[in-house]
Amino acid sequence: MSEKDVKETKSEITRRKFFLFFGWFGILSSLAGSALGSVRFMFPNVLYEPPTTFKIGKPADYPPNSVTFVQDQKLFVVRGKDGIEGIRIISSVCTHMGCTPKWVEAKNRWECPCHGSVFNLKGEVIAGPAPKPLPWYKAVIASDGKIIVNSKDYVKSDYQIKV
Amino acid sequence: MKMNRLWELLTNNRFYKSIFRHGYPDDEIKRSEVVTGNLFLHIQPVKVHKNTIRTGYTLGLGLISFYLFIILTVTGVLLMFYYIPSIERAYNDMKDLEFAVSFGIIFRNLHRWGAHGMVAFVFFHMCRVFFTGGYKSPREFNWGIGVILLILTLFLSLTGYLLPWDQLAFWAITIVANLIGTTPPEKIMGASLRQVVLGGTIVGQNALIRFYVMHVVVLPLVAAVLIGVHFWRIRKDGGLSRPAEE
Repeated sequence: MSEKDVKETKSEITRRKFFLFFGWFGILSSLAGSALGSVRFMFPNVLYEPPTTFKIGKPADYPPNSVTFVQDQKLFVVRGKDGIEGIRIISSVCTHMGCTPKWVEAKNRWECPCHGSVFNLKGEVIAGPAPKPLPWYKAVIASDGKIIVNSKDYVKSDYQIKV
Repeated sequence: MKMNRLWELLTNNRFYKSIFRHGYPDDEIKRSEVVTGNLFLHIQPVKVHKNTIRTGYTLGLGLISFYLFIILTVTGVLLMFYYIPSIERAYNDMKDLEFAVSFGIIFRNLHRWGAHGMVAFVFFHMCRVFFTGGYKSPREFNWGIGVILLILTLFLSLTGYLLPWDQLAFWAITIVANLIGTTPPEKIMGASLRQVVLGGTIVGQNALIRFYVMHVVVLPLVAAVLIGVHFWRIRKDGGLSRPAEE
């Protein structure tokens, strides 16, 4: 083995290549880390948004055979409609783009002003672009006699609080 | 003769010469030095083709868009002195700008109409470039920059739309956020895009501050840099698009 051959076999990883590799690896991975950190930073861990479980007053606040809009909680309280005597809670957030459908008493249905979706008394879509029916929320009477609603818990349209 | 001596007094000193390195622009070289030696003028070519100054060809639409951007920057900075991006105050601050602040209504309306105008004129500018074939080689890259600038203009328009925090703004952004939320695959991509745009799940304080920061810092900064590149490329790609030699 000559001296030249020894040099060539050693030159597979030279000192220069070694430092170049780890230099670039360090720079690029720190850049990638900062980029990922910045993306993660944009997703908040704590939200100060209205609670999804809340009280909406007593059953007596809602007269029989009525649909009442509760603006702050974005829902309708339905009482004694569609042959169901009790109180039922339905979302007032249109399943299309999130506008607020308006209750039209004369036609017994909800009509959305933004893109014309129409929902019947069961919350089902009967016209317009909405892809899903309006969800009905689970609600019970709390110990203080008030209606307590969980807007994350969906129920069927015949779920009711007996009054 | 007295004017000559006054001119001599003003210009023949170290202070003046430190600012203007060339002499009085009375020959071609000094005239070109006026342009090349000045940060603001050097974006202009030293010489222009005769056909370039035929205004009927470009209609000055790009420059109008740029002037609108300048107007929007100046009026926007003025509005920022009174507008606070908080859901309790934003709407009232906007009303104050209209009814309580001296000349506030002028600056707010300049900003509003300027914004509408910029969307229109950027669009017209692109129509002109398209119809005169200005996007063709060697200007393809600058057309691409222009497309990004159009999108930035639309994003600036959208983010500014929320800031008055009135019913129109609230429902418009509700719809836009839900539209973004339908990006497929909806459960992963749509949901996280919607969350990152709103900074939460509802159009509230987090959404307002995000739109505000995008509107007053991020988007204008990117737009300003790209406008610079856009102008620079006009020169590098052979000057303003113009009719061929006759």
